[in-house]
Amino acid sequence: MKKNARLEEIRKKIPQEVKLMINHSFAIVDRIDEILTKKKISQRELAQILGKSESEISKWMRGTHNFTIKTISKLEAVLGEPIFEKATKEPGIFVFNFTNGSTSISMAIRGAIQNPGVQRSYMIVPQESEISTEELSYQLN
Amino acid sequence: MKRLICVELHEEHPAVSYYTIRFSDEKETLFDQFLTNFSDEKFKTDIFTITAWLDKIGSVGALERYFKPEGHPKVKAIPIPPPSSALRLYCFRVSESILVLAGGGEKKTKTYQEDAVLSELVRITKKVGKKLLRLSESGKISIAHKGLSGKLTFEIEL
Repeated sequence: MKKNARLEEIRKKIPQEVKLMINHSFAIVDRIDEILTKKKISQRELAQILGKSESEISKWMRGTHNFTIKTISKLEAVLGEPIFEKATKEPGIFVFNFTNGSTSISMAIRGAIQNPGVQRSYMIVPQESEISTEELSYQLN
Repeated sequence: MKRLICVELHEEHPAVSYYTIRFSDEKETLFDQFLTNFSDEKFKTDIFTITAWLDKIGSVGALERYFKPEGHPKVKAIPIPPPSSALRLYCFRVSESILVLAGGGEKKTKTYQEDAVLSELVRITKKVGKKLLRLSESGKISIAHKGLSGKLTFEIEL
């Protein structure tokens, strides 16, 4: 596939945070679009529900809007579906920490998971073990 | 005034082919001129963001909703998220898999129409895109899944 030498030089210098910002932004708007399609809600209807203009919603859906947690929460509330859960579905490295008394084990899993939480029943661990899923960290590839 | 322009393949990505516009009497394409004009430190993050955005679109496809329309349904501005300077890059969305990148500039007015440079760039983008579609309708240009072929050098009235 043809690539432009000048853009290739620029690509080498793009900070990881810029790439991540674009990835996260697209993951969020693609998830919102998926919910809207599933629930047969148009952008115009969403604008009415949220008391926003249709152009504001179009702006959000371009993949570069800087969503606030407040806006995401409001969207999740009115759409009745989680946005972040699906937004973190991309393949990545998930780290789980298990603690049993003074022994602590960390396990890194590479792949995509629907919900970055672990159900105890899926694990073969002694009853007294503690699984600190709140210490889970997520990193995009 | 009539000017001869060339529509050239710039880059190919899995889901999108990017084309650019070059006036036949100029060495750089409009997109290259944009990169040259905004190579200062001040615009570095914006240029990084635009490049990352082009890569992302290149992998998922140039869906209609990812773009901001400017003066014509197929003339689009590539959105740049805040905090950013006010750079605008224009393109003509031929299809979900073909995008013609035009030029861009710094938006210092409320609307692009108030800025002579930006409104001229939008006008050029619109003229080139419309001519491309006309040439496609008359069979002189073929718009395939991810490529343009045929008479990609043509005159536009400016």
